[in-house]
Amino acid sequence: MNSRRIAIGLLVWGGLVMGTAGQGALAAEGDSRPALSAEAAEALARAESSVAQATARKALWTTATSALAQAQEAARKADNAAVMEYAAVASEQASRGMAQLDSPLTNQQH
Amino acid sequence: MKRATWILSCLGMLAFSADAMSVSPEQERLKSVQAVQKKYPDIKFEDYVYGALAFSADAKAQYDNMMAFPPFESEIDKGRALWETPFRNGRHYADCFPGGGKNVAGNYPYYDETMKKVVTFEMALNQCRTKNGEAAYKSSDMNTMGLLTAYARTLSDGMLMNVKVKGDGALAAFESGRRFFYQRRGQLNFSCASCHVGHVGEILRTEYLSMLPGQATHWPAFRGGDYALFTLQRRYSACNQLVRAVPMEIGGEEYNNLEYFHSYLSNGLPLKASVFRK
Amino acid sequence: MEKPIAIVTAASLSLLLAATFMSAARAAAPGPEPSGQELAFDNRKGNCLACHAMPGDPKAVTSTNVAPPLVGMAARFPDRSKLYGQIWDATRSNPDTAMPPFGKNGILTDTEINKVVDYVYGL
Ligand code: HEC
Ligand code: HEC
Repeated sequence: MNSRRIAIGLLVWGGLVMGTAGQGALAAEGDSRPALSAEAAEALARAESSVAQATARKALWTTATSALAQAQEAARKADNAAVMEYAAVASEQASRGMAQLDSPLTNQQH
Repeated sequence: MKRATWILSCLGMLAFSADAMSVSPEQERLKSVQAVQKKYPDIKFEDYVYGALAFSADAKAQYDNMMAFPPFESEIDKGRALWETPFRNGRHYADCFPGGGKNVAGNYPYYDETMKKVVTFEMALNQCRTKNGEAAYKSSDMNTMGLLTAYARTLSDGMLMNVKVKGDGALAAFESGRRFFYQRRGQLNFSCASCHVGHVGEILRTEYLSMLPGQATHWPAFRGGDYALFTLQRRYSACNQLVRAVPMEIGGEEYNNLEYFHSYLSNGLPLKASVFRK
Repeated sequence: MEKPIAIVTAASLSLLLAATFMSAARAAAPGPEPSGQELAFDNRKGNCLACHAMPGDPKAVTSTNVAPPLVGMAARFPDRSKLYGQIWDATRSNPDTAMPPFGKNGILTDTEINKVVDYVYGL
């Protein structure tokens, strides 16, 4: 399970670096590839930081992880629409996971 | 107590810290056992160790048949070889434990006052390794630590679970494990208790749901058609994934505290390692 | 008095959420759109069969006894928004419930819940 956590960590931090480096870095990487729109890059960075926060608070849902992975994959293909879509899901699922920490405990017998 | 709780809430303290003080670990365990007894008066306390099997005579009979000649015996033998092979300094695991490792597993996890954390049996095995100049195993590695416990824990078969929670640090660790058990997580929004307290003995699609007391007594288990080895914490990980929560680290603090709470709730029940489970 | 408001809020919130999830669901599952029955049976979707028997549908195979069987739904839930609300977030009517909040947590989209509601009304 350790390796899984590390993998998630890499995804998140790798992604963050990418996000901050932004459009320029992406465009430079492959000349022929269209750049990610500023809007999409921002959505991706937001999703990455939400997932990192949820990870730190031990409240991450697998749905947030997989949506982020899909957003990052879409970013590699510079598919702006897909990045926006998946990043929004990842952010939303990550923040729901964190909000869940405040929900009452269940089925306590006292 | 009531008054103290009220005052704390007014001070804006976290609700759970007040809540934590209201019930002792022993009261918690008794309530848990009584709830199962009330719902299933015909199931004997000792039989809680069979978990889901306690609800189905057929499944229990099949289990008994299989356990007469466990098809995963060769795996336990591999664990025995790991246990018996001396370290490079010539010493053995048996030298690290009282009674050569017999009847010890039921005392784990315990709260170590010096380290200020919960120590599981797996951690004790690793302490034995590092003390003798060997590298620690990863708790998540079923081919080393898993196999080792598949034999080492059988040396405590029949011992009654005997976990102790004394002192503030121990209580805090117990409480953290307790919260983990009752806290909803994952997209599907279940707590462990949603299934293993709220719907004990009921059938989730095809599976009977086991009861919390007795869940910590029989690990590792060999599961399914390929007898995959599952330590207790690997089972935690599987139950977390079931509800779409990213699992915690096997051998990490969250699961260690959960195991501490969980094992305490199995106190008084006989251990039997390396059993079959679906 | 509080419940109807809760349900209305739930329903309107779900519309907001649905926008987020619908497209994701489409992208994730290419092929024909699943029917209400399929959504109710599929253990990656509604998985209602994990907890509810459906004696009115001979195709609904399950051994479960976790929750009340879904029968006579049209008579028992004349108010559609009430049925919708139970599926959207069951914790509103029972804080200890084991039933997942399908809408609130984005397990099913608004469209999917409506299909499940249509299906369940036939039971
Ligand atoms: C959605 C329901 C559900 C939730 C939530 C759930 N489990 Fe389980 N769990 C199961 C099922 C089904 C099994 C297999 C049948 C059984 O033994 O109960 C199982 C088995 C287990 C077992 C093995 C019992 C045995 O004797 O082999 C343990 C231990 C366990 N769960 C612990 C947990 C913990 C700890 C949590 C919370 C992190 C948890 N479960 C959450 C459904 C659930
Ligand atoms: C993990 C178990 C679980 C799953 C999965 C589940 N439910 Fe439920 N459901 C319950 C429980 C338990 C209740 C009883 C009331 C409560 O606790 O909320 C319930 C209650 C209901 C009710 C009210 C029943 C009545 O007779 O008043 C409806 C309607 C319902 N569920 C529909 C569904 C539908 C539709 C699905 C699938 C999309 C579903 N449930 C999936 C556990 C579940």
